[in-house]
Amino acid sequence: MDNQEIILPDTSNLIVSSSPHVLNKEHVNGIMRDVIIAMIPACAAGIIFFGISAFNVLLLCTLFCVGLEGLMLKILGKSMNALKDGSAIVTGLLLGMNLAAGTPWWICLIGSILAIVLAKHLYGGLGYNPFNPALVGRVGLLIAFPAALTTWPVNRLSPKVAAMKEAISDLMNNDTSLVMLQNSGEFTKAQYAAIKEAFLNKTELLVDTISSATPLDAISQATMNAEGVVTGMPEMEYMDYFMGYIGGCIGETSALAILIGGAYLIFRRLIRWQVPFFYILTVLIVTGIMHMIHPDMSATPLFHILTGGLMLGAFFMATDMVTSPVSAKGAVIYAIGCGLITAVIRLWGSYPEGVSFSILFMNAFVPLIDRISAKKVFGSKEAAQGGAA
Amino acid sequence: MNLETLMTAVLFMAGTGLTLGLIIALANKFFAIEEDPRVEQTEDLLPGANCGGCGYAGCTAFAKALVAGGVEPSKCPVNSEEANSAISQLLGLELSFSEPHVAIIKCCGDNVESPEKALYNGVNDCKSAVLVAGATKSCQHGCLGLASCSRACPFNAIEINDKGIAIVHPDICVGCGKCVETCPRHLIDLVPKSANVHILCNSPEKAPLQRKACTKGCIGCRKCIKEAGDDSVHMQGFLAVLDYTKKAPMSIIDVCPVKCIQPTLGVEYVPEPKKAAPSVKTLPCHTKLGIEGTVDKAVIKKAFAQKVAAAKAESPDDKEAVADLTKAFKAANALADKFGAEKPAPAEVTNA
Amino acid sequence: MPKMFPGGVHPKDGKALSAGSEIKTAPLMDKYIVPLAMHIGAPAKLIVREGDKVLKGQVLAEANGFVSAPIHSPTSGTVISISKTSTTGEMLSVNNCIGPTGTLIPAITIESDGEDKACEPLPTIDWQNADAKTIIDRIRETGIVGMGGAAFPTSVKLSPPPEKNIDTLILNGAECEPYLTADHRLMLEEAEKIVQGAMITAKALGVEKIIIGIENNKPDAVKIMTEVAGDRAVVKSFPVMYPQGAEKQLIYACTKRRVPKGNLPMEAGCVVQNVGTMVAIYEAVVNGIPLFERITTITGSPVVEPGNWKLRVGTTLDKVLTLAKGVKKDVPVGKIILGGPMMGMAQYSLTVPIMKNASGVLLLAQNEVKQYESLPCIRCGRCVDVCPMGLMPATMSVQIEKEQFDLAENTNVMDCIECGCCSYACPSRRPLVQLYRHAKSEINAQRRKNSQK
Repeated sequence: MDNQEIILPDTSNLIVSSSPHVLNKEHVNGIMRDVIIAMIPACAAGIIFFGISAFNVLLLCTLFCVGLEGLMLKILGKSMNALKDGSAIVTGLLLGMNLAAGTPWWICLIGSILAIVLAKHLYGGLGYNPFNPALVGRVGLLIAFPAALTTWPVNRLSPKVAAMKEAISDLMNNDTSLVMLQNSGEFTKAQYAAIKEAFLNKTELLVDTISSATPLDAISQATMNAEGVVTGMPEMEYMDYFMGYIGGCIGETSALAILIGGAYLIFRRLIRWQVPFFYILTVLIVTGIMHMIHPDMSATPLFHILTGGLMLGAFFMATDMVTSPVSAKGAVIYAIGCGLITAVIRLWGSYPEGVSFSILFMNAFVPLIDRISAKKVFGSKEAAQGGAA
Repeated sequence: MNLETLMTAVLFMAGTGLTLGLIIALANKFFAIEEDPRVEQTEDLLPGANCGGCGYAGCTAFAKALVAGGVEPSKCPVNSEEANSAISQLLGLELSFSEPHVAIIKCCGDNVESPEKALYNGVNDCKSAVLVAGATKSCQHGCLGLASCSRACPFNAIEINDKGIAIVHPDICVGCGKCVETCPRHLIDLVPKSANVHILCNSPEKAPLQRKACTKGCIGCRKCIKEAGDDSVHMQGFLAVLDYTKKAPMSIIDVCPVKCIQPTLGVEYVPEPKKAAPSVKTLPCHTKLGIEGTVDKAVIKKAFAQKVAAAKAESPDDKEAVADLTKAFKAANALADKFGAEKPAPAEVTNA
Repeated sequence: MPKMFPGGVHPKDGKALSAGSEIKTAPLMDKYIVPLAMHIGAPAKLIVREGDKVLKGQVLAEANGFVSAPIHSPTSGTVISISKTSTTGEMLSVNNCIGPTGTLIPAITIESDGEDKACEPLPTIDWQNADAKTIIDRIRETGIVGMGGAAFPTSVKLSPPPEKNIDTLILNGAECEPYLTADHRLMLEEAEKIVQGAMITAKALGVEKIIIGIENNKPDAVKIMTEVAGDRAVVKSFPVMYPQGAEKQLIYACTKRRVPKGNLPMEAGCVVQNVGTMVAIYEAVVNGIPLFERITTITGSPVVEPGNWKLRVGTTLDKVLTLAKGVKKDVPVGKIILGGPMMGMAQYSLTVPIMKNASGVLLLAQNEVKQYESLPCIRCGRCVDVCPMGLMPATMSVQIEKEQFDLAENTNVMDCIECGCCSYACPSRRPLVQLYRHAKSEINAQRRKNSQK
């Protein structure tokens, strides 16, 4: 005799929904959180290289973006739950990573307004924006405040700083003198002044006020005279480029840090591997062809992929889900397009860097790419009739 | 910047602007499309809401149809009388009067009266919700409150009230009819704006099932038909339905036991005050029977029977008590007969 | 072996709960509520009246038209209530049954008299020598419908237009829905009946080739079916991927033929049938027994004793759950589903009866389900990657939300098989399948309106 009482379910709290009734565990909030984790290595590298001013820029951009997102949600009468998905934090960090350390706070604010208000909410909010918000912010700032956005502070771990520190210790040991340093031409006026100040006042070398050029700036200075002799082409220091001991935006300098983050993203299936792969491959091929034709006048393909914002753009900006095509085939077309335009701007355009513009340009084509790369419905190829096979 | 560069720039821009403007002006003249100017004039007189209530795809199409002839301006439900007569004057058309209509949502079973049987999770749209378990409202025919009609209304006349059902604001509604097809339960009808009483239920269920589904739904008791007296209200199965071509009396609102008959939103219904019920003071004959003064013979009879039974139970042989009670009974009955019809209460009664 | 179609997902299997349970026959219930529309097509036409005494297997309602099927009584007893029709034939409101779609449906309530007396079975047909028409007529007479879940009248499916060149019969033993094990147990326990049923069906269709498709998470079923079928049928096993059991995907996996877009399997020369339908056909043709019972899996984490039961149509869910010894005391139930978790229908009442197509009763605990808030599409592309029909769910869902149904039709929403892979994969928790169902009903209504013009 069964002494266990048979209990029937309580039907007052049942949920009724359409099928399917089991769902995969992944959620948008989790995706954004993983993207933020993937950006940590690059942000950390930026802070190490450029100091507290880099941290300030990242923090300010993130805070402004989150604050503006909350404000816009309120004004537009949408649910504040949307703040929880972390997309504003991602935009803020990306915007910060695209700016130079030491950017004034009001430029960060204007950039955040361009990114969140203009590029995201005026188009309808998350999921509806056609253009990458962080890039709209960056390009808007670049066109409005070109000087502020192309002033790069010196990378504390760059060889130049190491040389300056060595000069100071030489001065201390009396191996050289101020006059000799000034005449050697090894340092710019600003750098010499910093060395002099540090030596005479016996203080730490202040690098934050010195600016330097990025490697891409450097190769754009190269000239060829009438006899075909090239001057001004810098040495290719691949290790420096890979590790990031160069000038540039906060997030773009260290290829290594970005690769670590990018590997995490691909491993967790948060981005399509086709985008960075084909983007970088296309740039390699185009710049490689150019290098073969003009080996003295153009940089090597490896130089191109390790410097500038290409790594950052390929792994974090072009892979933004909302603004890239929805299918794998479309993503390949998109990435190749980005690569071509980046290479063209870098090689023949007047801007030394082409990544931001190329991605925004391809964003505009995404609806068209989606349409032409639509998958074929299962069964639409074959004509009717079985029989054979 | 020197003056020469400035002047060159200004002259160049001015010249370009003038040339292009000239080209546009010429194009406007030579490539103009012939259009009856009355179409634009008519369109100006139309409301421009593009609601489709006239049956045409927007106000421009309606204007073209008006100018072409064969349709009346009164087909536009949004336009005011003056605007319609202006159009008919402009185009030389006849203007006939068409009774303005408004939409009404025939359901008063909100989430208190007809609660949800289960938690619905899915697209917040009525037509989609019925695809999932028929939507989870207790009443299978009632309003789901997911606002499909509200979103379809081009004039924002439909609101979901705080109890979860849709209501139409008749002062804003123009009767364009766009909401009617959005309701998967077919609850929305267009009724004359002058109608001031409505039966807010569309459920054909019989009373036992109906009561389980909604405490405010029509149970088919027919009290409203009795009260109305004429065929302005009739039964369709177990549901009472109004015939809007006849004016139903507003008193049917009172007689409905479930209170699903209601006045138009915004119209206040004040029931006619009941005439004072005829009455009589409490007199000794009443007290003997153990009741208050009343003209209700049924009450008197019952009280008499009770008292007699009690007396007989107490002392079965006491005939005098019974006789006493019988006298009191007859007296009370006489008073009830005299004063039961609507006469004012008696001033003085002399006999006991 | 790689999977045999694009896309697909791997939901949690859950079959271990009931895969090892042998099929048990349910005891006689005191009441059965038998719906009149247990199949695709017109509801059956009543021929009994209230108060009539009926026997087990007796016809309660006749088929109403070509695409329809008759209804038979699951036991002997008295008809105690019927949905009434008015003199003009319209259904009045004594709907005494909540159907699986949540709406009230007409039904016949039979009160059992405890004797379970069967009516005379129909005579055995010597199917090896009978002609196709005799077999198909018997299948129609006994009310057999597709037991895989769609409940399409089998007699109609086996009567394709003569110009279609059918040469293969495919048995669907894939059972790709998680949690369900009814077909699995059927293959283990009634393999011979399945194969014989398949032979009968092949005779009715006039085909020689029979292929049985099974997913390889059921190796014991593959082994037994191969042994029993011998050279009468070919058994093929496929890697586990939902929805391998979907018609078009199964046909491609078995025969490498693609069903052309928007068409039926007969265009690819195939007819697909569930293994349960095969057993029903065997019983009907050889033993003359009509269809009124089926194998159903009762399972889920809140259920005390999950298992596979042979249930009669009309058994209400509360009785069904009693068979499985009810639910555990400390596990509150979040959802009750008729069918599998990917395509089944959620229920809100325990008075819903089992119909001919109820392959499973699945209970999900409250901590396994949630009320999801749907977020905007972030165009991540996961739905596009998993769609087995090669559609673009992301694009379609945004079009449908904006009520652009003509655009959605161009994006091929009508080819959606409602398998649920896209909703399963969507991180924004968008109710994609519900949107497509809505779009399909709107597009069909529009097509009807256009054809009437």
